[in-house]
Amino acid sequence: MVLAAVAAAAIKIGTSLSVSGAEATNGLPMQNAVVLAVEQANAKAHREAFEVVSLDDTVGGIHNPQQGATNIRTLGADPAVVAVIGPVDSNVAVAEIPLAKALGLPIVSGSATNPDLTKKLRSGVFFRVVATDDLQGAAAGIVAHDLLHYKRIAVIDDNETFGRAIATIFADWFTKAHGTVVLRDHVTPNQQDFHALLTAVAAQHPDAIFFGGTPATGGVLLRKQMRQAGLDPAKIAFLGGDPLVDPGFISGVGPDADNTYYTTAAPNAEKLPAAKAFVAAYRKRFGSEPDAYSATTYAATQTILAAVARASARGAVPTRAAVRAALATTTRVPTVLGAITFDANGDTLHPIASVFTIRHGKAVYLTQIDPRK
Amino acid sequence: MHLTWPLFLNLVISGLALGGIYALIALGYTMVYGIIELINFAHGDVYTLGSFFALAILTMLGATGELHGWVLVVDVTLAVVGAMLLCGLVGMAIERFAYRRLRNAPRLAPLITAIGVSFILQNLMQLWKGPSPISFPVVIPIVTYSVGGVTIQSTQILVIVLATVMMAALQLFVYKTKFGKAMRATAQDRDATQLMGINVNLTIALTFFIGSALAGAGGFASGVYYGSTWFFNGFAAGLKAFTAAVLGGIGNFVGAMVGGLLIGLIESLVAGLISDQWSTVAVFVVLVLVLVFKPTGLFGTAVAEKV
Repeated sequence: MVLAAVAAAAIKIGTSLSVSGAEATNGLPMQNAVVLAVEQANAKAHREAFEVVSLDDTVGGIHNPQQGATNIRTLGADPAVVAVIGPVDSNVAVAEIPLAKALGLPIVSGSATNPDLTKKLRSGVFFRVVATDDLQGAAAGIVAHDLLHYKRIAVIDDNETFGRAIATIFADWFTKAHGTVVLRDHVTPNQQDFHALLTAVAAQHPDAIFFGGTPATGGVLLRKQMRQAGLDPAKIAFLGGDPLVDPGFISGVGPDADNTYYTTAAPNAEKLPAAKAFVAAYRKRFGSEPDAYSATTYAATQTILAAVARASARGAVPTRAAVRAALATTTRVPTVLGAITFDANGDTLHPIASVFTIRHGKAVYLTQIDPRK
Repeated sequence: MHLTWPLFLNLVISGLALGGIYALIALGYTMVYGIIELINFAHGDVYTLGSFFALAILTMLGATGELHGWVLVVDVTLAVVGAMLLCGLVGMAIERFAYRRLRNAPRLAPLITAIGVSFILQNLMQLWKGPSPISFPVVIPIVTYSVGGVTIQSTQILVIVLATVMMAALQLFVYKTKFGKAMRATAQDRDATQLMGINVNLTIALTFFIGSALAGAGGFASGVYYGSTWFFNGFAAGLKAFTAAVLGGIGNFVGAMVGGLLIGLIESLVAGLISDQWSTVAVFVVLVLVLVFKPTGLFGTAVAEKV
């Protein structure tokens, strides 16, 4: 530690993720991925060149936009912080981006997928290595319509930025494909009782329920209460977006988690040759399995490290502004997800969505959807 | 939404089950307010704690799924009674260590303490069972009884029966026993009651015990009914139950019961017939309307008997 203090001041990478509460099962593997990427970079440089500053955006067990904004303010106040990894959830990103813009602090996300974050806000400080919900919503529609041949679907969301948008994108896509959205509703945070809503759903005899939201904002309880409302989970599928990756969904719902289909906004890390070394290193370092979004968050960290390397080409410690400018010109940077290039909005040029199903309490990879094909 | 009788009645049944749980929690709010004029914000978390205790007891008994026959009766009885006893003791401990010293302090002090106790309980539960929603064994076999499209589930019957039995027992206790009389007396005038030779500290502790035990029963009911529990459940449920207590007239028993059932029904009917996103709004709109036209709540009287 003393040696590190004597050496040149470390470049700091901040994280603001949901690492406690119900979403810790999702957020901690992401934070681990950042730690791993930075430790590897330090080992390569033979000195403590980088340092991770980890903050939590959880309040009362659930991600919190105000806390996210507070974290950005805290991180932004330290000039040594050149970039931030985060947040898990788009709702938090909406609160963070304007502040980050004012501070000139770039955020790279491996998980926030709401399209507006890049396409509408166009802040110049927000980048992401994952696909957006335009693709995720459409991918879920392709699964429901082309793969499973569903005709009637009830579409519910948690009234948050991510959930509401992906549910609307899905509902629009499904309607255009001549499917019927039999019910469209929004639930309230911290709601425990869904019997009434599900009773109304059951009266419409749907083939499936699409839920735009996370296990903690209603996913677990909705699926769990279906049986009591007369909706047999074995016959009526549960569809959703990437938050259902969270292992808390399967453990919370139990056996009725089967017959669930969900998409993720990234290629399946286990199928990617570039990710093999990452998966092995992660297992060795943390003694647990990385999940889909630890790989994307690792890739997000790689884009930051690459940007720092390019910005400090002349040997000097790069400024935050230089790192931001370098991130904006990220072109074919090799990562565990493959080569990444950011477009003018900060989105990856090569978005890919993966489709998973839950069978016998385990997530099973089905296929991937590549819009270029 | 096309309204049919079966749909309406199904929603009424879910509303009664939900309302039964709210009523069990609301009783604790109203009893404590009645006797020491404290809004015990930690009460919602005692309810969650009840589901955690019941889960721990069922796990200890080896119950992980449906049970039948005598095992079902014995395990459910042990889980309910155990959860009630443990919650009652926790309630007494909270009163002893957090509120008793503040009994004569300005009213804001115990209120803020209550919020602090709520945080402590939530965090302890998070440490105990982790941050994610956890599965609760549905020990009652799920049987659906159906008459002309109207369905009622065995778990809904359990919740409604449990709530009714608890409320009836509470009525008997408060109006037919000596302790009940002491509670009513303490609520009316603490100093005069003390002068009559009644142990006021014991009576208040007992009130906390009973209120918390009812929340514990509610916690068990919610665990079986929803098949899951979560350390943060008590926040929203407590808020709604508190609303129920205010709606019925805080300090009034019958008010808390009726208020709980009303809120459950409103929530269920609005969610099923209009939209789920308006159900919470509807609850609070009704609350505001009642408070505007009858500030003491439906059953509240200005003074007189408060317990």
